[in-house]
This record gives sequence, structure tokens and C-alpha cells, in this order.
Amino acid sequence: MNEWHGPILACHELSKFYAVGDGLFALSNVELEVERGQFVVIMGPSGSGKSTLLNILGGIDRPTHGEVLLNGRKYSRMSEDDLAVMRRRELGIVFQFFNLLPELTAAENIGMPMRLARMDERDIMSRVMHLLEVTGLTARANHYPVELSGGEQQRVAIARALAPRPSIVLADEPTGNLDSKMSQEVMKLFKRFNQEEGQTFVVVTHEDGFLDYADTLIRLSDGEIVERKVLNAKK
Amino acid sequence: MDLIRLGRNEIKRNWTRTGVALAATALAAWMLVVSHMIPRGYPWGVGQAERAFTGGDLVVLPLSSRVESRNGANLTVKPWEGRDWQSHALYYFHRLSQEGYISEGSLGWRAFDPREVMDLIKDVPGVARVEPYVSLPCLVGSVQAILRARDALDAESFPLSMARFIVEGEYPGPAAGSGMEALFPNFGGLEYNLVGSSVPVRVPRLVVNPAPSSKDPARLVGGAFGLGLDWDNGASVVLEVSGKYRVNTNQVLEPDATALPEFPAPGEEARFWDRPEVFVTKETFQEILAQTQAAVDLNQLPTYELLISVDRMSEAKAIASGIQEKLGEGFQVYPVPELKKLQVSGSALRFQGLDAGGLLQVQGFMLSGVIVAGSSYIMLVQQKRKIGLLRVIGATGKDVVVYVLTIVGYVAAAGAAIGFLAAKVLSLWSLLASEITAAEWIKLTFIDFISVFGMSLGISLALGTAVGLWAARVPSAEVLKRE
Repeated sequence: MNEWHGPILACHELSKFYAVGDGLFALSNVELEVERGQFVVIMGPSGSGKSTLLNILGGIDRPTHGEVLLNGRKYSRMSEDDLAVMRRRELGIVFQFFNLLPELTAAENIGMPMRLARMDERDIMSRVMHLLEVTGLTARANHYPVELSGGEQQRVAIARALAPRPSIVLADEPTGNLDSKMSQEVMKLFKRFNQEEGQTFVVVTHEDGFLDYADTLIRLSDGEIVERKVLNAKK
Repeated sequence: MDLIRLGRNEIKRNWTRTGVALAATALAAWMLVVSHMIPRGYPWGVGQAERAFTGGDLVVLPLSSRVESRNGANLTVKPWEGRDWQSHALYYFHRLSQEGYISEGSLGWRAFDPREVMDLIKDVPGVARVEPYVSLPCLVGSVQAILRARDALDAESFPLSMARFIVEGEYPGPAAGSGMEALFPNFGGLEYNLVGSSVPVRVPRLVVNPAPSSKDPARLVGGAFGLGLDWDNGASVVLEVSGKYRVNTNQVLEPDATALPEFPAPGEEARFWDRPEVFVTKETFQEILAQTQAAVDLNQLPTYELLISVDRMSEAKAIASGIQEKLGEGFQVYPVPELKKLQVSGSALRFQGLDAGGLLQVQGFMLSGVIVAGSSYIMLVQQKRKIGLLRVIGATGKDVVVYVLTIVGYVAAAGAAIGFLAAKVLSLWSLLASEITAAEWIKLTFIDFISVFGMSLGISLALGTAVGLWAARVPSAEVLKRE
């Protein structure tokens, strides 16, 4: 289905400048390539540009300079609609604050990207049931977000990101609002999908625990990559 | 699809705004349905006065384009301001002279030979009778008036008869020797001519000119003439006042009343028809005409107006359309206001005409549409982050428009349903209290249903599309903003 054999995700000379006050470079000349199936962890202190980088990689935000490519296709040549279509097929995003739709149940939230992609309803139901089972939420399928705990909401958000079988998942502080036990569960979930379904993960986190699951570490400071480390953590 | 469910739940969550939009739509729907319960047209008495004076159910005027009112809409009488002596046109359209339709040389306003036109109209289904408006200006002493030829009273049918407006004396009989009888107005300086008295009247000689506009290449049915008046070669006749009439446009007559009621009723003002027409029979008119020129058949005399009686006034609009189709451009057909039998406790209420009624209904739905779309817009402005999230998980601009239209559509449909049902329950009363049959009521209900939902959804969705297109431009980056 995908003929591209280069890095699944890449960015070149990526910069993001905010013209506030004296001006601020949130990112400066970032070069990054993520290979298919990799589990990349991006770490760094607060304000180092981690979330900005992830948002630009997800096509949510636009860089001031530079280019992002997903499966070889340049974001700069895509409209907002093209990016939306790309996200629902190839790229899932997990937020720190879950961002579930409060009007929909857990199952409906998970099924939403697939329904937007006009997938077959039977396939959607089957995938939703599978994801609910994998994330341990089968009993909570018909509960609304407000009726779920933080950990459960984050698992729903993860299931939603994984639902259309994207080739890559970007997660921004996915355990930032969870206790340590829940954080462990989320990390295991990511690793499971990374290993079983071969999905690529790029996770922004402060959580050292993720290093046990990651095979590449990128460390950012003041908008620049200051460390690239291969961890070879395929466990 | 979950977007629809999302929209529905959004409506429930924003109940206050939704409630306002629902109420506005329901009110517009209610107004439309209830307005159909109010009879349109004129109360019996007022309507009859207008129809009797005009002498026809429909009038045909030589106008090349529509002057006022939608096609088929009723004429509405206004105070007479014109000098047209062979047509009621200026009674209805004050601005005709300023707009050039009745200026000499104008294609629109011309005299025509009625025979060819009448022949065409006679074959239109539903037409009972066609006759030209026949008159001459005249001087009654020094007072300007209009001498009008009409059938003898026994040839006139109710409700087009002038008989009910005679306040003294009687309608003129056929010409008898030198005694030429006339029905005089009881106003306009002519009220001093007593019944039984002889009144000197001068009429001009009628001059028929060639087409007023030689530039006109079009072949018009009935041809085109200009009518001139030659007072120097006119004739002086003496008319005997057989009776006096007074047409009061503020007067309600019961259909079966045999005499005019006391008028004015306490606290009410008299509003008389102020066009001073002196009625004579056609025979008398022809006799007078013969004194000024060679005798002519009145149906050959060029005229500016035809008067048409129809079999059923309820079909007047369809008949008017049929006539219009036959005559083509160059003529306009207008129904005279329809009569409605109403009990209005002695006051002559005028009901909203069709044009303004329809306009108000559309405006009602426009307003409700603005409120529905506006409330959706406010809702979406506060929910930009959610739209951003939808974009992040894969919603295209089209999906966002669908989401917005779902919200707007549900509110408009729900509001329309509430208003429709409320008004229909009320209209059950009209079913019980009127002569309307169950079948007619069901038919009206169906028409109301189509009108209410068509207008409510149509207008709201059109305005909602604009809001949707705005929402579709909200970028995914909105999801990054904290609420």
C-alpha cells in the first residue's frame, strides 16, 4: 500500500519562531528522521520545544521554516483538509489532556476517526471492540468521558489514535496526568502496539520509564536537539 | 454518523441558546399556520363596495409590465388621485402617471379595440362575462364628473350590483324619450342634485387617434389608439336624477341585508368612494354619444379597461392566469378583492393582502433562520477548540459543515414541528367552527406542513451553510488553545 521506503517521518531545518516580546525560537534547525517501527522518545526540560515539535510533526501547527515529510509527502504542499485526511489514515495523536469528545461514549470516541474515514461499519465495530478489549475498557464502552477515570480516558484517547491503524502515533505527555500505575499501563500499551502491530511511536515525555520501552532517545534543549541516543530497547 | 449524534448532543448541552432558536422557529411556524386561519381579502361589506363600484371580478388593463402586486394578487383600492376617465387604473396604482404608463405615446398605456380582446377572453374557462369599461368625462354644471355606461340594474348580478349603495331614489331605467335618467353620487359636489330634478350635463366629442406610439413595432391584440376629447364639438344633455348612491368603504353590509345600515356607527369615520361617476344605462349613454358623433356600438368604442365576471371567485387567480396567457404581453390582469363573509362587530376591518402576508411569513422564517444560525455561530465560537479537535482526528471542512448543518437542521426542524403542531391543534377549532370540510382541512394541513418545513429548513440551512463554511476554516491548531 505504501511504496515509500525512506523514513516514515522526517523534518529538515525545522524552526518555529514566536514573535512575542523580543521574539523566541521554540525550535531551531531541527533535523529528525524516524524509521518505520521505531519507538522514539523525545525528552527535555519544560519549554525546550518538545510539544511544539510534536505539534508540527502532527501537522497541527505550521513551522516558521523548514519542512516535514510523512511517508515522503511534504506538509507544506498540503491544505488543512489534506492534513486532516492524512491524519485520519496515517497518523494518530494522543494528547496529555485526552481531548475526548464529551458528547460521545468511549466506543463512539474510538470509532470517530474511522467513521470520518468512511470505513465499513462492521469493520469499525470489530476494531472498536478489539481496542476496548486490549485497553481493558470493554465494560466501559458505553460510558461517557465524564464517567471515566483519568487513566481510562487516556486509554480511550490512545485507542482512538490507534483505531484507523495509523502507521505512526504521536503522543504528547500521554502520562502527564496519570499516576505511576496508570502511566505504566499506558507505556505497556504503547509498546504492545509497537511490537504487535508494528506502529511507529514518537512520544514526548518527562517519564524516564519510557526509556525502558524506547529504542531511540532524542533530547531537546532550547529548541535544539542536544542528544540522539540509540537505546536498542526492543524487549 | 457520529457527527450527527455529536451535533444533537451539542444542542442538548446548549439548551438556553437552543431554546431561544427553537422558540423563534416555532413562532414563525405558528404564525404561518395561524395566518392561514385568518381569511384574506376584504370583509363582505367593504369587498362588495369595491366590487360593485368596479363592476367586475377581474380587470384587464393595457399595461406592458406588472405595475404592483404579484401575479394574481388582489387589487387594493386607494383614494382616487387620477384623472383617468375610462379606467379605474389610477384608483389602484397612484404612480402610474409618474411612471409613464398612462402618458400619451407610452406603449403601456393605450386605448384598444375591445372586440378582439373580448373574443379571446370569452373562451377562457371560468369566464362568465366580459365587457368594456365605457365612460366619458362630463361637466355637471361646473363640476367635473365621469359619465359611465352600465347595464340596467336587472341585468347586474349580485355582488356586482350597485343597488345596495343607493341611498335615495332608484337605479336608472332604460332611456325613454327625452327623459334620460341617471344615478348620481351623493358626494363630490354632486350631492345637491336632488332626486327627480333635471341636471344639465355637457359631454365632449370623443376623438379616436392613431396609435400613440408610431415607434411601436409590436402587434398588440386589439391594436393601439389614443383617445382625445373635443369639448367644442360636444353635446349638452339634460339628465334626470333617478337616484343617489353613496359607496362607503368603511361600511359592513350583511350579505342578506336589504338596506344600508346607519352610518357612521358611533366613533367611526365615513370613508366615501370619491370618484364621481354618474351612472346611466348603456342605451342612454349610446343616445348621448350619438349627439356628438355617429352612433357606435359600445363594444367597438376603444377603451382602457375590460371588466370580467367569473363563474367562481375561488378560481379567480387561475382564470386571471389563463387570461394573461391568452393576451400575452401588453395587458395585465388583476383580480378585484375577494369577498369574505365575516362577522366583524360593525367595524370594517381590512385584512392583510396576500402579498404582504406572504412577505411577512418569509420574513418570520428569515428572522428565525438568523436566530438559529446565529445561536449556532455563538455556540461554535465557544467551541472552536472542539472543531480543532475534530480536524485533528480527521474531519475535513466538509465534515465540519455537515456537523454545523446538523445542529441548525435539528433546531429548525424541531422548532418548525413545535410551532406547526401547536398551530394545528388551534386550527382544529377552525375545522369545527367553519364550513371547511375535513378534506380541505387535511389538504391545508399538508400545504402548511410543506410550507413550514420547507421555509424553516430551507432558510435556516442556507444561513447555517454560511456559519458552517466559517467553521470549516477553523484550523486544527485551535485544539492547542486552552478553554
